[in-house]
Amino acid sequence: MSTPNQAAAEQAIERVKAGEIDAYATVVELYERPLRAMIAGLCPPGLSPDEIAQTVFVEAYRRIDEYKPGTHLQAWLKAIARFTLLGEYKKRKREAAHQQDYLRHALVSGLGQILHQEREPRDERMAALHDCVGSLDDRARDVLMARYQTETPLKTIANRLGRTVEAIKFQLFATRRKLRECVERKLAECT
Amino acid sequence: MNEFEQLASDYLDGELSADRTAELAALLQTDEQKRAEFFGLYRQHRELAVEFGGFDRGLFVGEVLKRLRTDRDRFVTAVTEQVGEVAAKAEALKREKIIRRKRGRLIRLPHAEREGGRSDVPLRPRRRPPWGLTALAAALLVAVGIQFHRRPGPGPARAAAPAVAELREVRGAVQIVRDGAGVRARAGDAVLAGDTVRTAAADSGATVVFRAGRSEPGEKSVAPDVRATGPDAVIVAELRMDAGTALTVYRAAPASPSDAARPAMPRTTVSNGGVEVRVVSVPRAPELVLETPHLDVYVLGTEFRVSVDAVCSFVHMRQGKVRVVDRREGTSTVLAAGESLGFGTGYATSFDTPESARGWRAIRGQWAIQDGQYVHTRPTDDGNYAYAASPFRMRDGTLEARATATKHNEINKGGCFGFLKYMDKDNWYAVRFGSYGSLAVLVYEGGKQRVIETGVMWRPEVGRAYLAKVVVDGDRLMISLDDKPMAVVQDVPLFGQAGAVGFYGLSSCAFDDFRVSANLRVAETRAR
Repeated sequence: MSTPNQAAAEQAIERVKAGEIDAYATVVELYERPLRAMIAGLCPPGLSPDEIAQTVFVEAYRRIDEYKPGTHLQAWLKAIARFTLLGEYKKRKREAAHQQDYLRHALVSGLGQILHQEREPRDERMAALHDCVGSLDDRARDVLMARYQTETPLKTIANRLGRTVEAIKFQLFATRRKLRECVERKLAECT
Repeated sequence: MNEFEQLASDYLDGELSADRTAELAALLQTDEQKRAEFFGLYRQHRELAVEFGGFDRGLFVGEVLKRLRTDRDRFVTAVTEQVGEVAAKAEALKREKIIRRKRGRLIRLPHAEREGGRSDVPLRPRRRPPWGLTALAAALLVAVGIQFHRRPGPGPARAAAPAVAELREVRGAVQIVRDGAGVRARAGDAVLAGDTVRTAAADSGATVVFRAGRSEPGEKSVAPDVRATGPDAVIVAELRMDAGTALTVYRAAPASPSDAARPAMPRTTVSNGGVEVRVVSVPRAPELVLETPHLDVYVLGTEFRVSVDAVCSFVHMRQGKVRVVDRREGTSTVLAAGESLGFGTGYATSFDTPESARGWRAIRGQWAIQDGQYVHTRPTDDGNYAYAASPFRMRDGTLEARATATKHNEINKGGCFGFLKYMDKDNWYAVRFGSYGSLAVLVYEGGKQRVIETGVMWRPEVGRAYLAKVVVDGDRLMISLDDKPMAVVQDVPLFGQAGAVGFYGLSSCAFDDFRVSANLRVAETRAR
């Protein structure tokens, strides 16, 4: 149950409990990645996953006395993240009910439903995403990275590659769809 | 690209106009398949942005620490810490401010109003460990055992591993993983000892079947045997796997303690998800045993559902009976049709869907999900209490919910809501917020009722939601409202027993975002 990361985090937690607030940075550094990854895909539209992740760490700090050393710290943090997301969905669901924006309402309902169903959001999802991105051909991966890593506008990507914007859009959408299928397949395979 | 692809693509790239957004919405509204694909693409889009996008970890950490410092006062006064401080103060006040009423003793807190006179009684030293809360447990284990023999079947080969079950009704993406290699599963495949059957996250499912029969003519005992055919061969168990479930069957198994003469059973581990179990009663057939980190379930001739996640295991009965043994406490409970039981380190529900109240039972009064809350709906002027229990059982831990008194009750002089810990009909207690204008604990012990008054006067504002919280630490209860400690009650009876937790109301009230953290050590993993 206890990993090297967790051992370091637990030492930090002891220091936090002793009043050393800066020691909490260790906990955040060790667990921001899995937490942000989990929140990213399940975050209600219009909210920043990073802001939610920060809120989760703040909430975990508030509840640090509730954490029992030697137990599953990452699962504990993810449970807090889940509660936080459920709360946000609830708020947004009520708001969306009074709005005419069906798309947002549908996204809130749909993603909220996924969150309800996935009681234990899976760590393998991000690993699968990385694997699948790695398996793309160079051309598709370059466009994808330009879009997500450097947030390059589609027009700039098109100019750089000497292609039309429509062609880049087409390729990007096909890549997204291919990635999605690949991730689902890998999740079904992994144990 | 077709119309949907064009719209979805533009939406993800932030290039969709308001009019076109409306077109996409209209398309999704009428096409369920496209809607599901769009949700998946949207989710992945955000994951890609976070996973591959620019991220300044230093800035992120700094922002968290900044928020901590900014809110330091709030954090410092957070409820758990506050209650801890107050408990410490209470220790210091033990020669001054302690009230005993019947068996209940009260420590009054600075935030609370006072009522009446009191006698001072020394406080007993604490007998239990600190009331620190639970972390979340990991992994779970459901073990089913029946001894079978090998039956050839497709899938990756492994020599000498016996076939222990058979796959039936395979739907969608289902895999058998053997020695680390996975192959697509088909109906009729044999499941060998050590195999993992995995259903994909969506729209997939499979049924794992266990058989038993006389393997030799004239043999008296009914032994588990996946090869069994003929009139004596029967299916003794069907395990219908939900989507997103992984189930591994092992050869070794503990024998049922209730009948050591029965054949030993291999075990099955379910690492996540849900399994619907149907067990057929067969004379002298092996007794089915399901194990989780939290529960052992002994069952013969019944239908039920087991659902498991990282923090909790639930059993929901449909027919028949099972005997459930709480693995940590060793206590045994018989569950009958319609009953549910959950045990583990945590439970949370927000009452958004009917499933979110699965296993809840209205023991007294009328309770229902309304507008995303769990509501006591009975008319409020009869002065009678009502309570409902969740399937989750807890000995020590923390109960927390957003609670609202929805009506004023003349008889009880105000609104009221509360938490319940229910062992059985004669043994339970409820922490009441606002009954007759006070905080109190209503106790039924051996069928006899009494009230432990805290002496704290408090009435809820009707219609306002409060964050109510009770920490149960043996015979001590720590009560807070909106993160403000209100009372610590000691010598509460019925301590040390696991009970179903839930809600109480003396007048109409509503609850939302119910969370339970049980103080339970992480279960030890059993050797396979």
